[in-house]
Amino acid sequence: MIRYIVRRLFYGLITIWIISVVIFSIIHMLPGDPIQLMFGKTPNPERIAIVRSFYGLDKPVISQYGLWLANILRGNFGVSIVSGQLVTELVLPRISSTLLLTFAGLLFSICIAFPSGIAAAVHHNTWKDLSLTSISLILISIPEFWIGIVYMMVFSVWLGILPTSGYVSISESLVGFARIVFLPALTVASVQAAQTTRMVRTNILEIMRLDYITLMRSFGVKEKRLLNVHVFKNVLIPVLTQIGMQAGALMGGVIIIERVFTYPGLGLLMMRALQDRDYPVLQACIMVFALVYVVFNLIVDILYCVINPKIRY
Amino acid sequence: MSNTILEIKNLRTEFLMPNKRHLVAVRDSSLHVDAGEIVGIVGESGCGKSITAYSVLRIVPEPGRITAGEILFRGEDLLGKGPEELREIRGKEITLICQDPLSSLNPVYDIFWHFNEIFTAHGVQKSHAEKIEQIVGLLGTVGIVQPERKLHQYPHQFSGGMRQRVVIAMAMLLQPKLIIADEPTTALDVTTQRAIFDLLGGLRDKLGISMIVISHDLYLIAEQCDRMYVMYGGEIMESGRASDVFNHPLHPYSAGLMDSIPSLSFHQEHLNGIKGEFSSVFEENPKGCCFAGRCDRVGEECLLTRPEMREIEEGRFVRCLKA
Repeated sequence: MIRYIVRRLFYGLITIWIISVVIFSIIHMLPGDPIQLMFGKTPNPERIAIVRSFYGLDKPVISQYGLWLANILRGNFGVSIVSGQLVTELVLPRISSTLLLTFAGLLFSICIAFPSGIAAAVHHNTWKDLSLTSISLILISIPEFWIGIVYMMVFSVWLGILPTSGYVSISESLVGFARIVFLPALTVASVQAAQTTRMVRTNILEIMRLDYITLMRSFGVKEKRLLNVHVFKNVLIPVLTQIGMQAGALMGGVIIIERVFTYPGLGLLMMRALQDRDYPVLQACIMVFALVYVVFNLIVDILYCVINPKIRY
Repeated sequence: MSNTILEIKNLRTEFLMPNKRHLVAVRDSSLHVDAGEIVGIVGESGCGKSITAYSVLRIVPEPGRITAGEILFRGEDLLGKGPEELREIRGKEITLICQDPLSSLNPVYDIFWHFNEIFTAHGVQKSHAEKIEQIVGLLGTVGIVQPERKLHQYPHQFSGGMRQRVVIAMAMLLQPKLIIADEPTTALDVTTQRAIFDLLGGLRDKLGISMIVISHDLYLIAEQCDRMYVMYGGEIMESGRASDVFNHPLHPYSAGLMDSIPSLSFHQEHLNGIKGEFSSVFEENPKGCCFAGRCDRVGEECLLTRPEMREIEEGRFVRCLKA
């Protein structure tokens, strides 16, 4: 078990290193020069050269990468080109708000998907199943930001029970934070839950038909226990894989949803950094997302081998 | 017959298809199992063997329904029982051994868990040590070496034959009166088939458990069973002592079936078979004999009159007008 985790961890590190190379290269391949952008319409070549060398942008790309990586490892992501603030100061406080949103979204998605998937499977081919699968198909088919706007309309404009935007930190007020995070999290969760619901439903129906369930039924095991214990653990294996693969989509969704709800997370920061070509901030944001993605999949891998005895450590 | 464990009378199991048609999988079938007896059911795929077995346990998959007949287990009709009463009979009085051992154990749980589930389902109050002792003993009986080491292994660590032994041990856990083995050896290799059949035979001899064995393997059935039933198209065509039916089949279908066994004793130019094809759509109320289309002894009356089960000799029944 320990060896398995260590190996996964090692693969995770390699993934992050490759991502760092990719981030570095992509950003240097993007059109547009931030230094020229800084000086606007009245470029002064001398001062441009000074600023360029201050940021180390006059050095060869490879040594720029080496410098960048060494700094990152020391926790130094540099200075924002736009505001001059330390990148870590900008990014760190937003990590927690984005992570909280992501986990709230994940939690909602699981809490919605399992009961509805199970309900659809238990009542399969009835109106309950039909309505659940239709709703999930609709949710899969429409874009997230649109769902977000609809929720905003319903909960904030019509019912007036939740705010459309703003931010209250979790340390200030738990209830205030929950009110803020509820709609964005529900939006992110909707699409995820719709996919997982269908996955749970299909897998339950498939496993219900297998010989080992029939055999245990013939030994007098109660139907409820067959579903909740015998089938359920087997359903977890593919569903967990699905949730792991959704991690990317989940964070992509978070970036867009933060924009819709002006939720001050990493996504919003990243969008602004992208528009301003604020490379250091952008790099730090992407690194954090990559790190979260890798950690997320590491957790899935570990859970996977706890559930599935066929996986050898 | 006071020592009859199971008696099925005129069983009819139908599947209501989405197009509102009834597919009759088992029609007007009667069979009985006496105490300590091994009864074989043979027939080609799709003839209703397994559905008969599932009907006894009342676990016919959807949209299957038992629409007529009686299933008397120790004199009580199982068709009149409620779900909870049935659940208590399953696993304790009547148990099943499935066709494919590779898929009959839950892959995410270990061997001990499988046995413990049966204990839990029937509310058996035993200490952990007692349970372990009983399971280890049983696994030893069914021929698993070092059972105490295997207890916490997972199904994928076992071979097909070993898994079938585990299933047999599970089927014996609560000392049932009747074991239904649905093609217990079909998925196994030849030597293992023999070993499993010997094991089942041995259990009957030692413990006096009655068994219904469903199989394609005519040799094994003839050798190991006391009596056998031949099924075709959802109906029982012939029954009698296993060796009699095997050596002197009365029904043209049984004869064809026995004739289809490949032989090694002399040079065979081609394999004998039964001409024509088995029609899988079962009519609701057929006219005439359901085997008439493939029968080489068919006469005009066979197409018009549905044959009834007739007793030819003592304990020897056949559903054929010509026999």
